Amino acid sequence: MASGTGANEGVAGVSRRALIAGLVAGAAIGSAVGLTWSGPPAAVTQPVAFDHRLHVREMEIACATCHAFAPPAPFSGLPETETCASCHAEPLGTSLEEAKVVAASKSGARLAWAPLQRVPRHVFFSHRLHTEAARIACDDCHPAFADARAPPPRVPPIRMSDCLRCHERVGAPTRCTACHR
Amino acid sequence: MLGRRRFLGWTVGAAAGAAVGGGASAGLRALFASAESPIVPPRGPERVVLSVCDLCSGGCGVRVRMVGDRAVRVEGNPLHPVSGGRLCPRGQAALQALYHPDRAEGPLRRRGPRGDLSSFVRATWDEALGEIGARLAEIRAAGRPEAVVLMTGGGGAGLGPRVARRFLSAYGSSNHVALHRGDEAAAIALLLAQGVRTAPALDLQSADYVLSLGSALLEAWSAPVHATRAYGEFRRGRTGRRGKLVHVEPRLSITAVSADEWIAVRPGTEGVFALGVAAAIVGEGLHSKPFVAERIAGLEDERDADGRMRPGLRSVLAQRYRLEQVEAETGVPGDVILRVAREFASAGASLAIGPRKGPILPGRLFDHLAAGVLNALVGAVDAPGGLLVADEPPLPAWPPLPGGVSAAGRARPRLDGAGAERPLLASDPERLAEAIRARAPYRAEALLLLDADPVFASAAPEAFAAAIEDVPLVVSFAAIPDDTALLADWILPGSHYLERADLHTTPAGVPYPLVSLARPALPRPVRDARPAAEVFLELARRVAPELAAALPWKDLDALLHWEMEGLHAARRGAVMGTAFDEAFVRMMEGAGWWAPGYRTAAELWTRAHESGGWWDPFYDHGDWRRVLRTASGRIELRGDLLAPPPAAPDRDGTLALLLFEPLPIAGGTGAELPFLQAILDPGHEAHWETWAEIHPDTAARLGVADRDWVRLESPRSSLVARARVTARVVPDAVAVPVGLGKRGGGRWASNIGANPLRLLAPTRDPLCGLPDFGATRVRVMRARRPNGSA
Amino acid sequence: MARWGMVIDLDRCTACQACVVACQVENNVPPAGSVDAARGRAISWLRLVPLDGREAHGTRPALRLVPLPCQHCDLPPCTPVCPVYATQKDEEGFVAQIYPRCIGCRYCTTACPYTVRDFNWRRPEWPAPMEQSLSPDVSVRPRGVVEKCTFCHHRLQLARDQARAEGRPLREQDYVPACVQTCPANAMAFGDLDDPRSTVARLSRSPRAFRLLEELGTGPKVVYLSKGEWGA
Repeated sequence: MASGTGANEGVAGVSRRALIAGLVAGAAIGSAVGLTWSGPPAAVTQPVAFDHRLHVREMEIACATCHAFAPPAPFSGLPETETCASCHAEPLGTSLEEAKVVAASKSGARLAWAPLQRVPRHVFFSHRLHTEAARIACDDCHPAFADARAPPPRVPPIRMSDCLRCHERVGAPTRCTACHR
Repeated sequence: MLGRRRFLGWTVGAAAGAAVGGGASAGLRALFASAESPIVPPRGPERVVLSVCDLCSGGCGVRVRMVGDRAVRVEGNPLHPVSGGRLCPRGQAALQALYHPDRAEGPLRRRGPRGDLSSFVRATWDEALGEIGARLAEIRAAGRPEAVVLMTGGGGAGLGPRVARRFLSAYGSSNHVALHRGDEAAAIALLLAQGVRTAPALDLQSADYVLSLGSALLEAWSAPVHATRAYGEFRRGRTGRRGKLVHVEPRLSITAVSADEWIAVRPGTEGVFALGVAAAIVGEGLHSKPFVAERIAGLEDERDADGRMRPGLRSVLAQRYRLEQVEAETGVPGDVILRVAREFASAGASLAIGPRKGPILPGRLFDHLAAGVLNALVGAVDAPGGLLVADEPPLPAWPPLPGGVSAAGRARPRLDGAGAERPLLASDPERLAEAIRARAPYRAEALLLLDADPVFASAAPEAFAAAIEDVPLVVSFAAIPDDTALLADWILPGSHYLERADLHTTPAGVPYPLVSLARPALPRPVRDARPAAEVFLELARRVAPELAAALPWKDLDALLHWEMEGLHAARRGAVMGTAFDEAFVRMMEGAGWWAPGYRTAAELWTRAHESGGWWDPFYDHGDWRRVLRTASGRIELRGDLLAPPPAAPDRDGTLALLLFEPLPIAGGTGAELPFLQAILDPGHEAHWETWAEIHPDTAARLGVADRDWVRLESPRSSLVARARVTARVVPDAVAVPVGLGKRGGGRWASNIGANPLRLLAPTRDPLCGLPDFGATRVRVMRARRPNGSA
Repeated sequence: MARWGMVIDLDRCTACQACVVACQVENNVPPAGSVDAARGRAISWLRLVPLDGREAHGTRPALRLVPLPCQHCDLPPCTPVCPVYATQKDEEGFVAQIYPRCIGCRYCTTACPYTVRDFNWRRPEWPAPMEQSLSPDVSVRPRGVVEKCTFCHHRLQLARDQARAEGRPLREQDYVPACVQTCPANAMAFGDLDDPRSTVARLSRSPRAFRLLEELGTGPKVVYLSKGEWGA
């Protein structure tokens, strides 16, 4: 290879042109990553390792039984202890997780379920509009749950592009004011 | 081919670049994120609670939206006859008072020098009530219950003041002093004219022509939302009829801005103007002759019981209020006076309103009497569109007061001499301050302050500050420590209206008997506060068994049940409802039927709580036995009180001090809430400061430019304010708002502005003895800016 | 689609400013202190502005105090200047402000001839426990974005959702902005200007109707009714 003279002479045996090119490329990639990458979402642990597949697929309990909507808020509701107690006031099996639920229903304690997905405050989202008027199935937007044997520690966030994709396809409003507030 | 040097170059460069780029952009993201407020309003189950606002005496029924345990929105209750679903800016700012950061944490006991919040330490309610109850019991046992003084202020007609007053009477003292006298002069005028002692109600929405003599009808009125709603209807609510409003005042107030005509009179001459109008009406024979013949006494000269000739109004007007005299005194051209007289007398329903400016500023009795004369001359008394007298709601009597030491205490003369030294007054706070310092006729041993801040809001702030030092036990119920509370021995923070149940009777100025019900919106108070009513019930139990028997309710709900059961027994009125319900009830009651929409007391309780309360919408016009209780059985035109007119004080280079109360800070409260501080003077951006309105000619003479700082000096005190050079005020006057200049009141009120009540001369209204808030003259000069202000 | 507009009757308005405070409470506007207010940085989506009235009769007051919200112009001068499309007029006539897009350049604030736009100069703060009274239906804006009157658009979203859930069309009384709801003098009306039977359409045809700065061609959708004449 050529040992350079003149302008291409680098610093300490390193090509200056390549150095600058590398700096620019690195800065571009670094900035892009730094601005957009938010890292893996934090892991969330639930008070009870709830088996969705058992309840939803095998027992065929409807989603709305436990996740009753408080319209028109976007939050779909996590079950109160009384809901669990309607079946699990006494143990139905031998699992340790179920024992936690039975204990809570006897003592009246609240099970502190941790929501995995949140709607940002600057968005107006009505669950009942989507489930009742648009008749969208719960797992169209929340696919991670119905088949899960244990609560997932994290789920990918629902992004605006996900909402728009479906809205554009079915002709639902896509103007900013439909959802932003 | 990638050489070693290029390879190294690329690698090192890329690594360095990525580090810098990544770091910088991550840093940028953190910067953006720091711009976000960390506050995310949580959600929760929602419900609605009905309550009654008490940020003024207006008594608006409100609907509160609760999200979880938080109150997030207060709106008017659409079924409530006072608010009709609407609210004024004070009512809208109620949540800032509920969640105010400077609310007292709980009962506070003073351990250090007076006047400093850091002198206070926390105590428990048990400790506080134990000690205070024991002290009160001691005083009573020693046979001196009259030595306990209760001062109440402007927080509406809820159970707090009513229970406090009953406690005082049961305890054995008649020293209940009301600080806010905004309705006093109008009430005294009504007493002299009709023999009824209450604030008059105005049927504004049915009037055609309103002559406002310096009133604050569209500002800090006694029931602001009720009056403004009526005004909207007065203007545009009746097809083909548009009411006309003429406003007479030396200043272009907010009410004047809305008027069709602003008549700028010289300071202190509103009443003279009104009597000039009356003279023209009588002189041209435009008064309502049938009404005058049937219902009026005192128009003509008469011989009184001692055989002396008492001049009638006609002679007084002809002698002292001829056109040229009134023109000279008021500065208003004679043709304007004549025109107004003819308009007033020939309009369908005319109404004259006296100069009530707010809860603190009642106006002069002379001016109110003059307004009463005009109303009497055109028959605007107890008629649609005129002056009405509200009936009391038929609430049940409370258990009888104890005798013995209590009766003896109640029989002793009041410290403030109201009703005795000054027979027309119901209360005299300034005289109270003097009596406390003089310790005559006896020493005051305890002072209880409920919604009252006399060190700020009386006509003698410094006298009160000095007097309070001499009272061994001073207890304030202020939620946010105010100027008087800072000097007290105990602060027992009262709860916010959204934290308690309550029952409000008819607000002053509303013509229908009303009982408004409030439920607590929050399950527990934000701070360790308690409703004042419950504190007094507890004190009654601690002081003596006969007091507990006179106030036998264990809490507010028990008292509410008592009241509502009595209301049910009265067999009158109906629960609040829609406009249709109102019309139906009126129609039925007019025909003599009772159609309440409830049968049992339990049904009344439930339905009244669902709608907001009970009321009787039927006004029986012309029930003269109820509204006319003079000796003559007629409306008395007191010509003897109207001559001579009040003397104008010497000018000598001073300006007349015109005080007014902007609604956001009326009654000396409101400055604590930042949303209210920000709207003091609509059309100007600055707010948050005390300003002095000066006419451009006067400003030129004084060498003062707009937004300069000026000093106002009276014989008593001085203050510094921001000059506003404007033609809104006549050249001979300077106008200053009342409500700023507190030391207490929390971070948004403390040390902001200046209190012009400190400037007041100790002049009394010669006719009744009320402080004359309009008699002070001040010297105005440029000043340096005050310390510590923007 | 509806074309939402407002009518303000100056003959009823008493300049009490209930509308001003109601708007701030409804929309989670942070309270400003005296320092920020002195610098003109207090945020108020609705203000009363002084207008000089004409002296019709010599004794008539020359001052009018006029409530001035965003006029939601049909030809808004603020939307074309936004470099990031954070403000735009939607199909129903609202001039929307999308906070997550706004970069705070304030071209729109400068372009607005009515000066009804405010900028968040600081991170909004509510001293504890005042944050408890914040409404969950409205964003809390960050520092560095522009905000303005939205005709309480969030109330329309909620009302529409409720109407759909109940299977009925939206009624006139279902959606009113906070200012209109609270006005004690009943001076404000709101509704669909394109519905000939609506209150606002009817009132906007009044001989007393006028709009502010009409000559600029902004097409404001706030219609004012002037104060009445003598006895008229």
